[in-house]
Order: sequence, then structure tokens, then C-alpha cells
Amino acid sequence: MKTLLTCMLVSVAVGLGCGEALVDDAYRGDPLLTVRGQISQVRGALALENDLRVAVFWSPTGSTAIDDTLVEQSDVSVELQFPALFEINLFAPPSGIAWRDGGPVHVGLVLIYDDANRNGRFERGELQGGARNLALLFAERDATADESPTGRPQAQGVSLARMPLRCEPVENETPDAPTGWAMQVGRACGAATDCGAEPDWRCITEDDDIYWSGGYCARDMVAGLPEADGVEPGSVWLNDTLTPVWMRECNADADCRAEYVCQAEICRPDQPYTMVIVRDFQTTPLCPDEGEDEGGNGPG
Amino acid sequence: MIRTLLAWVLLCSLSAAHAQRVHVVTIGNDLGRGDEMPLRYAERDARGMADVLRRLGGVQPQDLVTVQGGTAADVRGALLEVNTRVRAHAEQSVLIVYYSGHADAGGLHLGDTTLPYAELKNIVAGSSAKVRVLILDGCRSGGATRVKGVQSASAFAVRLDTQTGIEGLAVMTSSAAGEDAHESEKLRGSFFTHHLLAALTGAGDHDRDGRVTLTEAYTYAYTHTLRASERTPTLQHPTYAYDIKGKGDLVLTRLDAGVGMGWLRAARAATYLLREGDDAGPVHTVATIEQSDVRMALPAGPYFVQERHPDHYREYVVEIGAGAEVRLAQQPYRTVAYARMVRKGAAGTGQGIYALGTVHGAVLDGAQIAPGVAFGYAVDLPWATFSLRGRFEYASQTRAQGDSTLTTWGAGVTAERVVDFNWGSIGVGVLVEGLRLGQALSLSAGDESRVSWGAAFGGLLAIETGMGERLFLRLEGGPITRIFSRALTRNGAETATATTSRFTGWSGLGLGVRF
Repeated sequence: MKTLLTCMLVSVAVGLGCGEALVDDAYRGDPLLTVRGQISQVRGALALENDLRVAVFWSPTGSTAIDDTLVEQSDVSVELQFPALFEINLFAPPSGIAWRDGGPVHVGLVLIYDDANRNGRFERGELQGGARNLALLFAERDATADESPTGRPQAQGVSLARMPLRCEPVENETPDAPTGWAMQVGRACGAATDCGAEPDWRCITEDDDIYWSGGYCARDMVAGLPEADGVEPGSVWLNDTLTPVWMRECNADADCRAEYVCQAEICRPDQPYTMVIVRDFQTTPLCPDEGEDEGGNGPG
Repeated sequence: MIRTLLAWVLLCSLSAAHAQRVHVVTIGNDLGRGDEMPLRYAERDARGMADVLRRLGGVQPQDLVTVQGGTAADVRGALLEVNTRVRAHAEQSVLIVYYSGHADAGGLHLGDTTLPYAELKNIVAGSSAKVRVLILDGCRSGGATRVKGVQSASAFAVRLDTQTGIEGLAVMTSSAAGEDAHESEKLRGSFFTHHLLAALTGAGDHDRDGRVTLTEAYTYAYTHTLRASERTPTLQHPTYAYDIKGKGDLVLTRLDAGVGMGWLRAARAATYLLREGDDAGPVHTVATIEQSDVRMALPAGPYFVQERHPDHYREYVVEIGAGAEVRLAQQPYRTVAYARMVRKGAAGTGQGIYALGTVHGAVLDGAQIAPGVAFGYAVDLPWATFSLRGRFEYASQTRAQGDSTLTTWGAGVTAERVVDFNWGSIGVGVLVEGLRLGQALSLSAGDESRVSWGAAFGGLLAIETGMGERLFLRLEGGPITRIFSRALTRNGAETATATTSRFTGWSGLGLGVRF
């Protein structure tokens, strides 16, 4: 009380405020989740001055396909800094949704639509893009590894994940220590020769638009398995690229080099989430083995 | 038989009145010795005393001698001449000698000349008049009573006996031996003479018998001269010494005796300020009436009368006709609140409380105008009015995410300079407050509350108008700047805090009571 009184007197004397800060009507609370990323516009699909809305949709069915079952969440604040940046704050968990995916962990998507009729909600034909590699997860309760698409126990609440997810339990929380040639996988490099003498070593520096900071040693599979007995511990075979390669295995970001994060048990560059504005936008399948039919185009 | 008896009593009374002849010598001199600052109203006081005694004391013009600005020789000569006239009918004579001017413990200063008290006393005491009264209004004039070896009589009893053959000498002085006597610019005369004249014209008529005796006049003059001098650097104690034999008291004035005089009857005990003409006219009398229904004799004419009570004034405008009586209780009047009296310097300090309904401008984006209440305790000083006040306001804020409220508690002070008009008063001042701001938010994720401490300062414009003797209506408002800690938000989330000043306006309307 004495402190408050002193504060008040000082406030009067010098015209300063103290205590907790008051908030205006723009304040919506402490965000449960903040997502920041980049926006890229492909093929000049849409004039940016259109009434674009970036929104979070939850999938009651558990599918990442864009269809009429998606439910838009209202307790979201989005800031767009065209042409390149976005920030999404999620202030409350989804509510009032009849989940039909059978589990305690539900999947959400970030989509962009052109609210042409200005009715404030997403309708068929308004889809303009979205975040391809970004998934929101909402656990109604603490979920076990078996119940979570990340393959790990999931705490109650909202979290962020990069797609595709593992979708099966992680059996070994601590990855095997690399042995043999796998010790070179994931290390920095300037050229393939920095990784090893074998001709199937590659030094990845960029892949599509992704920048592999400091280079990344990987061993491709063009010539088959490097060892007759199979996989070396500490490496993972990645075949979702044009050239399947062995990459660094991980279970957490701490298992990877600086500027790399653990995504689907593989150390990958820590890239910002990306939203694309593009016609025929397709989401990434939730799980690696779901195939193209799980993701899909928007209704339009 | 009864009619015959009443006629005989009346005849005897008139005979007695006519038998008594009053000789008056009034002496006034504004100038004293070279080292004494000239007085402004000494000669005026002497004229006033002569006028009252002539009008109400039954003094015939030929028995009234005035010496204005004269020397000791002039005064000595006038007194000796009057003594000569008195000898012709000494048994029925009263001699009243009044002096107003500079003096010291030794005597009267008449310009560069001095008339010693011993000589003055000898001349007056040596008069063959049956009753001799010497009234001295001058600094240290108490020396005259001290010389006589009697004590000042501040606590003697008023004698209510009828006059039955008294004789002797009475000396009344305006101050004790070591004291200064004061003049008042406002009264346009000395304190002592002013109150003595007020007493003689009715204010001193303690027994309300229509006659003012020497004792009544002194009692009144003593009380009010002392009271008036309390506002001066030194106190002034009038003295009274008498060596009068016989039963009764000397009647100096009769209130119903004046030619060209009327009467003002005061219904309530109060101090009455009478100005000649209107409220800007010169002060005629300041009289304190301690009883109800007291009559004052005044020259016919218009008067502005201010009836002063501890917490308010009543102001009358009356026309007093010759031989007519005006009863104030039957006259229309205007009430003046105490605060206004204070600002006029007519009272020390005033106090009051008030309650206002208020509205304040929004201090946060999206907030609405905030209704509230304010309570204040005001202290009125002649040059400013200060107020301690507390207030509360409540604002709602409708938000897409849910409603929120902002409650503000404030405690502060105001300072106003108030100007009075006929219809009321206008105050202009400043306001400083400490604030406690509490915000209750209803958010998607649940309820949240925040408390901030800040300050406010701004201007103040207040309009007040009286609603009776104590109650007043107050309207106030002005610009205000509030300083508090405010969150900076981006994309709906708090990113930082900063001290913010928000300029808004406010107003209030309510009632107050002065006490």
C-alpha cells in the first residue's frame, strides 16, 4: 500500500503512470500461439489490394483436404505486411466444433481467401492460398504418443507443427549416435568432397527456394545403399525429394545444428513458415504416407 | 380620573425634559504635532457627534459649540465661554465635551499646541453644570482617566434605573493610557466614535426603552471598539471613569426625538452595515445588534442595509422617510452566501461540501464516455477557493471479444479564483488528481483485470449559483490530461507498455452546502 501511495504521489508530481498497463479495444489477450512467416505470391494470382483474409480453419474430420467441413475460428488476429510477412495470433482454443476425427488431437490449417462478397466468412470459390507446410494442432487433453499425429505425447492446448507429421509413435526418444559414414551426414560443407570421398555424397546448398545454411552433407541413393547391411544409425532415408538421400536423424531441435530444426525426425533448415497466394492451392498431406489424395484443392 | 392622571404625568415629564439643558462642545482637529501623521476623520467625527446630539440629544443650536481645527487657546476659550453660559441655569444643565484628534498621555494635541488633561479636567470639572461628561477620542487618551485615579471600567454593570437627580463628572476615553486609537478608512471615522454614534442612534439601546444612556453608550462602544481593534496591530480598550452621585443614569439621546429622522427596526440579532444610497454608497453605520427588535434612528433617506450573520448575509434596499419606521422583517431581501462574503473579505474562511454527477471523456480507444460522481470539501479564502475531492467514474467498453469496464478512483485538489456576479459566481482554476484505474476485461481466453496508477491535471471552470442561504448549485468542467501506463498492442497482443497522456474533457453538475 505504501508503495502504491508513493507511486501515486510520484505520478502526480512528475506525471508518470505506473502499475499494470491499460489496454485499448485492440487488445485481445495473451496469445496462445503466434505464427510468423512469409507470404509469397506465385504467378501474380491476385491483386494484393483485394480484401484478403487470412484465417485459421479447423478440420473436424482430421483431414487436411480443403472442403466445406472446415470451420473458421474467430478468436484470431492476423497482421499482414504485404508483400512479404504475416503474423497470426491465436487467443483461444477452438470451441463449438463437433470433432469427427476420433482422437483428442485435432488439425488446423491457415488459409487465405478473398472475401469478395465481404460477408466476413469463407465460402466456396474464395480460396486464394494458404500455408502449405504449417499445421496447427489442438489437444483437447493431454494425448499419448499413440493418439498424436506428431508421434509424441501432446500436451493439452494449441501448438504448431510442420507438415508432414510423423503420424506414428516415436519409438526411440533418443536417436542412435551416428556411426560410420552417418557421422558425416548433416554436417556443414562447401562441396561434396567435404563430406566424403564416395561419389554419392552430396553437399546440399539449396533446394527449391530453401536455403541450406552452411551446406548440408547428405548421401544419395542413386547407387543404392552405401552399406550392404542397410542403414547406418543416426541417418534417415528421405525420399520425398527429387533425389532421395540419407539425412540426419533427430527427435528434437537440439539434435540438429544451429539454424536447423527437427522436422519429421529429420534435421532440416529452420525456414519460416510460408503462405503462398496461388491458384490451385493444395495443402500438404498430414502424414507422409497419405499420398496426394489426402491433401487437395479448394472447392473452387 | 385616569385621563387626568395620565395628562398630569405627561406634563411632568415634558417639564422635566425641558428643564434639562444640554450644552455641547465638540472639538475636532485632524492635525497634531509636526511629527504626527495627520488624521483624516477627526473633524468629521466631531461633526457627526454634534449632529447626533443635536438631532437626538435635544441640544439646541445655540447650546452647541464646535471647534474645528482650532488651537489649545481656541478650545480653552470655547470651554470658558460655555461655562459662563452654563452658570445662568446651572442646576438644570448638562455639559458634554467631545474631542477627536491626536493626544498622548499628557494632553490633547491641537496642531502644534497642547491642552493638558489637567487643565481640560479642571475646566470641565469646574463647570457649574450639574452633570459634566468628557469624551476623548485620541491616542493614549486614557491618560485622562488615569490622572483621575480611577480604573477603566470594562465590566461595570449597566444601570437601568431611571434618572433621578444625578450630578458629577464622567470621563470616557477611546483608548487606555498606553494605547493607540485607530481610524478606519472603511468606516470613514475612528472605531470608537463610530461605535459610540451607532450606540447613540439606537444600537446601544440595551433595554429598548427608546433612550440611550451614557452607560449604554459606553458599554456598546467599548465592546465593539475592542472587537474592531482585534483586526489591527494593537488592541484598543476604551475607558470610562465616573464620579456621579445620585440614582439613575444620564440619558444622552432619545430615539424618537429627531427632526428629519426615521427609524429602522432590526428584527434579528446581527451586525448591520448601513450604506447611504446603494451598495456602493459610503458607510453610514456598522452596528451590532445583540437582541431582536431593536430600533435605530437614522436621517431620512435611502439606505443599503447588509444584515450579517455568521453564515450568510441578507441585503436590503430601503427608503426611510422622516418620522416613519421601516421594519426589515417586512422588507424584501437578497441572500448572499458565505463563500461570497469570504471572497469579499467580510469573513475569515468558509467551508462547504458538494456532490456532483460527472461525465468524463474516454481515455482508452473504444471506451465510452464515463459517468461518475465526485465529492468535495471546499475551503473558501478571500483570494482563492481550495477543494479536496474524491471521485469515481465507470466506463464500459464494448469490444468484439467481449465487454470490458474501466473504473477510475481519483483523489486530488482544486484551486479556483472566483469572481462573483449578481446571479452567481464563476471560478477559474486548476485541478490535480492521483488516479487508480481498474480495467476488467472479458476476453476469449477468460477474464482479466488490470490496475494502473496515474495522475491527471487540467483546467477548471465552475459556475455556482445560490439556492438559499446555504445550498448552492454547481456546474463545472474543463479540459483534463490523464497520465497512465498504457499497453502498446500489435496484432491484438501486448507488445510493450508506455506512459501515455490522454487529453479529454469533463463536466459535472451537482449541489453543495456551505457551513
